[in-house]
Amino acid sequence: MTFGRTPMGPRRFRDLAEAYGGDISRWPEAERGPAEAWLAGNPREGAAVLEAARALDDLLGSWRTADPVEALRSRVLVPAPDLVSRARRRAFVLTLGGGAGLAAACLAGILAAPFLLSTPSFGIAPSPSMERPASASASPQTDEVLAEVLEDWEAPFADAEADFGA
Amino acid sequence: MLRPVTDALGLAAGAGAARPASPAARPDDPDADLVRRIGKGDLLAIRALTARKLPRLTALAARVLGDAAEAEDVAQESLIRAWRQAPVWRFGEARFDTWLHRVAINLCRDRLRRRRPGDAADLDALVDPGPAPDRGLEARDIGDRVAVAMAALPPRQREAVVLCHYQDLGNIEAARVLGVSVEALESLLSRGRRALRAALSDLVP
Repeated sequence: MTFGRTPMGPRRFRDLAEAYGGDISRWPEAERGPAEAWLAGNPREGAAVLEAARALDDLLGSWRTADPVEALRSRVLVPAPDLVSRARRRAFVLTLGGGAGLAAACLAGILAAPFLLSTPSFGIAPSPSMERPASASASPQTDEVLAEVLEDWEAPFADAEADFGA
Repeated sequence: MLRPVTDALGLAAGAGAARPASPAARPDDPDADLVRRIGKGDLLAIRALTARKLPRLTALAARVLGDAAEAEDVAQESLIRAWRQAPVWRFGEARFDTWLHRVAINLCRDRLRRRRPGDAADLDALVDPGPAPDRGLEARDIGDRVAVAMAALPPRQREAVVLCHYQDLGNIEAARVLGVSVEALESLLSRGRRALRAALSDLVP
């Protein structure tokens, strides 16, 4: 099968019906017009092909699944506002807010370093890099959001593109 | 202020005029407006997308996995990822529905991979218990037969048939979901339908 370059004829018509079923409106868009034209010129042969394909379509259509129950809707809806809100904060941190927050955190660390290093210590002194920044602008919320970003950030399609072997 | 449900679904006649679409939005993505509003925290849009996608995702996973309980978990996880993704969604790169189907298919594949050889799907739980007014006992029996025949297909063929026949995706979108070429999709569909026809030969005229 060479598909797009295959001229419409009995073989291609049959291949399409075999793959996509007996409803031409569900066939690849570019091939619907040529298929309709071929069918108009070969009504008996074309109708037989479509009828056979439709018989299988009807059979497949008899398998219906139950609609989701209300409990599932609740499980999906209840956490949604919080998840959207967290994602919006992540997006903010990763764009404008992220740059500002990170800069504030770095600045706070630099300013605090001399003080921390000059403080008498007993035993092992905590490393300045491990200290929580003292700046009000580098709030715990910023830290939490940055942690969230590292923990569960996923780019569009990143998860979906993995492991898609034919 | 609460908006009417039709507006929440993006169906109101004036919705487009009142809220111009982003120039970057993919014009043929029917979910673009809802996704944009979810990204701004619109709770009505969250409900509307749930109403639109949850039945589709549950049916997709049920048919791919052959297990109703696992299908609910996959549908739930898929929409949770949608809530996380909406605020950062890059319009114009893919349809949101295609991405959502890819997420769901990937989650199904993860679950199928983790299954042990002896694990059997509860196919009875998958068929709508009905009967609806236009469906009798015979339709239920045929549905059971189809479910069994679908479960016997190789996974990639089953995915292709589910996406094109049951989810009503076009060939290009279905190929994108499966990460294969359109030609490969057509081959999977042909082989899948041939196998189904053989398995159900006593029911196909």
